[in-house]
Amino acid sequence: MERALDAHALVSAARDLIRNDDADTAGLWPRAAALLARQGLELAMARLWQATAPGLERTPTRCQLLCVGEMLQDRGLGGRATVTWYALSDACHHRAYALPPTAVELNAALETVWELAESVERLRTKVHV
Amino acid sequence: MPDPALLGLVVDRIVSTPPPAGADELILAAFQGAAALEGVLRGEPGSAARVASLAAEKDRPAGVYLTAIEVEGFRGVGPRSVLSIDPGPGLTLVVGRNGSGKSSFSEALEMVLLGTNQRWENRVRVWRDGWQNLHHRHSRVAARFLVDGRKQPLEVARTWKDGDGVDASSLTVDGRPATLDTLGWTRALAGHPPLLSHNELEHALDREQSKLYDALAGILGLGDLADAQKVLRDTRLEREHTAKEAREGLPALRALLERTADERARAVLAALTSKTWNLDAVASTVDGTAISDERSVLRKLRDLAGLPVLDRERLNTAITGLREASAAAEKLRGTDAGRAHEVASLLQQALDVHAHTEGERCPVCGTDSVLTYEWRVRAREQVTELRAAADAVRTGQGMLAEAVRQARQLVAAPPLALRDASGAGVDTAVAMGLWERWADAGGDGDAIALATHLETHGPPLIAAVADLRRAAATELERLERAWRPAADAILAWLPLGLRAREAEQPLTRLKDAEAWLKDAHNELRDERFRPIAGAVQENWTELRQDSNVTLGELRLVGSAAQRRLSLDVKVDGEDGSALGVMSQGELNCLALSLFLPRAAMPESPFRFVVIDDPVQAMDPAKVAGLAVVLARAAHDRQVVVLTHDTRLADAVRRLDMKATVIEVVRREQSVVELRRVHDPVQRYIDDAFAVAMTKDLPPEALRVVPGFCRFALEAASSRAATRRMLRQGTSEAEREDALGRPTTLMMWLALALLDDAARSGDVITFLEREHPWAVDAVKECNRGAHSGRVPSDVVGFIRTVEKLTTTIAMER
Repeated sequence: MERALDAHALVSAARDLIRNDDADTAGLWPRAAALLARQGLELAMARLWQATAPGLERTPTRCQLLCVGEMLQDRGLGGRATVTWYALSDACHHRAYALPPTAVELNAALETVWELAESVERLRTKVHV
Repeated sequence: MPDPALLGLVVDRIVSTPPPAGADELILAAFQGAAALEGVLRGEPGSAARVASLAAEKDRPAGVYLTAIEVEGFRGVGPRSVLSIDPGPGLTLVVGRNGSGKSSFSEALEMVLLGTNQRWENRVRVWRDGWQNLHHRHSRVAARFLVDGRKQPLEVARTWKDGDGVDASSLTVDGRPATLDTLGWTRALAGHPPLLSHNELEHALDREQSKLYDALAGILGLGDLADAQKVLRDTRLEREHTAKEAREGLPALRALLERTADERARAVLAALTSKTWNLDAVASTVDGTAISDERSVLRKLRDLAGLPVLDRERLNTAITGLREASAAAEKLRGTDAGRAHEVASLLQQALDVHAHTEGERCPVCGTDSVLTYEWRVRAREQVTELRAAADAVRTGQGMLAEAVRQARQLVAAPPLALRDASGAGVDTAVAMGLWERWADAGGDGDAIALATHLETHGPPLIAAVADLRRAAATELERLERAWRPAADAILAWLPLGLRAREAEQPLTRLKDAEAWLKDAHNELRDERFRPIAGAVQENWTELRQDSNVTLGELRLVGSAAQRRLSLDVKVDGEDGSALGVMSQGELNCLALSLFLPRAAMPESPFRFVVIDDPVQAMDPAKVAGLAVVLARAAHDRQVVVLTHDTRLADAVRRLDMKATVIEVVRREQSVVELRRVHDPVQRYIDDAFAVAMTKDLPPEALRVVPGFCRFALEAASSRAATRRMLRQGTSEAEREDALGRPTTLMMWLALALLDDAARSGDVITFLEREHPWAVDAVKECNRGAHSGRVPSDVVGFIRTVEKLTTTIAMER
């Protein structure tokens, strides 16, 4: 199970939650999707360090985020990933007076996570080859 | 149609405080509009009775509660979504992010109740074009109401056909086509609108004073009073204007009349000088029907111009008659008609006697043989002759007398007009002299002398009178010509004057009516505004919280252009310049303070109010006050508040107020979901269970369970910390600050359990000592939220977390 799981799968699952008009997930999907998105983002980073800098995954996430752009040689993506992670972290904690994120916000975040995951997988392929 | 309840008050007042005589029917007519008022002023009856009967039907409309708002394909809502609200008094909070579609529900209600009225027409184009939901082209908005005395809820719906503009909706009531008016709410919707949008709150107070007054006067339902006042005022002004127009033309006319040397000018001036114009005198003076006095020059001239003229024909006839009769009489001179007649009679008698007696002896003298046949024949002849002679004499005398009589008839004394012609401006001396001589025809003069008198004095008199008549006519004509311009000017002005007189006639009554109605308005206004002002102040006391602005007396004052809302505002105890000193948040609070009492007026059928996002621009400290105000309003009203964050809901929960909280989230394709939220902690736990138990979710979904558990723990910590701070009397600002600090689960737990968010590092140690059973679950929450790893016994894990939330709630 662990093997089959990658960030793409988490993003897809999150998108399904947002998209499917399902009574079982009514109302809870925004936070659930946020949780999955952040897990996806962190998983993507973990797989990046696995291939490029083992051990970096044990440093604080903020630290890791600073290295993403450098490692992928894409500062733009690194910046987006950082912003997205902070936004998702906000949504994944109870905030006084805050309401869950909207579908639009979530889709934007998932877009970035997907992009990051793609980039990471491309790099991994290169490194292994 | 005036408000029957208000009319009732006015009618009652007319009875208790009667206006001056005649003003009452004007007051009542003014409520019916300008046309009705004009009717009464013209003397048409009936309007007062109609008004009184209207006033009698002042029964209150049945109370209306909201039970649901249904939206489909409208604004942010795609597939049908229903916001159900418990009917009856109480507070309902609809909480959703901006863009979640929550405002679509209030807009839908507005659409149902108000249709495409001005509020909508003023919307920006973007709005008007984008009203239909992109994902769902079948559009329908509906609201269901519970109406007192009706078993079934009332459904009012609007539907659009695909491609229709926002204006093209069709309305149904309980499924049948209808118009808004059939609901009978039009009036209440205007006076007591049960909807208040954020936009309105924001701008409620930054309008012109008079608009603000109108908005509040509208609440009081006194609009009809103001309208009636206006009708009276306008009618009076119009009439005063008419009168003014006539008066303005007067100086010029007067000047002209003073320049005009005509006695009629004097008369008209006199008629127009008195305070109330004698226009009838003016009119009759101008058209000549006026009865002028004996000194009138015109009258004298007219009399002279019409002086009787001696008819030449008659004069000649009389002269001839006199002469002929005189000649005839001359011929018979010496004939004694009387004696001839007596002799004829004697002879006839003798003949008659002789016819009965035989013999020729005269019975008178005794002579024999005289009464012979020959005597008889001669006597008969004699009788005939004598009689003819007597008749001729008589006829001649009669004819002469008749001729004299005829002639004398012509000889009259000078007429009054001639005798009394002084000042007429024509010389009458010649005519007068001739006439006097003419009249002096001698007493018993014989016929010839009379004929001579006529012959001598007749013709000159005829000529002199004709001259005089001509002179008088000429003079008259001259005067007429001089008078014409003035007459024309008077005739031109007269209609104005007549209209002015008619216009001015009821002015006093109109003024009385106006003054009475103004007093009535002021008193009714103060009476009605007092409870509202009280409620506003009460609300403000709650809402102002830390504001240094205090609200003193609140009154509606003035009228017409001077009308305004008088707000007694003090800043730190000093008089402030009304609204200028308030922040936008404070203004919103004040607007809300005003709005809630307005919606709660007993004459409104609406027992509900829907307020869209009152919290925006409101500083956090005021939210608690707002919660109190709303909860108070919810005692006897159904209060529905749409809000974009949870501050209000949190405040309501914290203050242990009864409220229903409905969360709105919008999925893709504009699927808008609503669910009732009882308690955020329990909701997270329920969500975690829901994900764990639902079989057909993708396997990845399970990974969110630790995240939801962490949400639950954090929410429980937040609540526990809040409660403790409230107990400790921490200020609202400090609470806000403390609750804004934690960013991780450990910090939340530290705040809740150790009263210090900074001590997150001590949480596990604390738990190990106090609640060792919870340690693993807390760690799983934190780890799993990130990694998505789910403990093998998911249900047990969630239960442990649930137990910990209760433990946190009971901590200290």
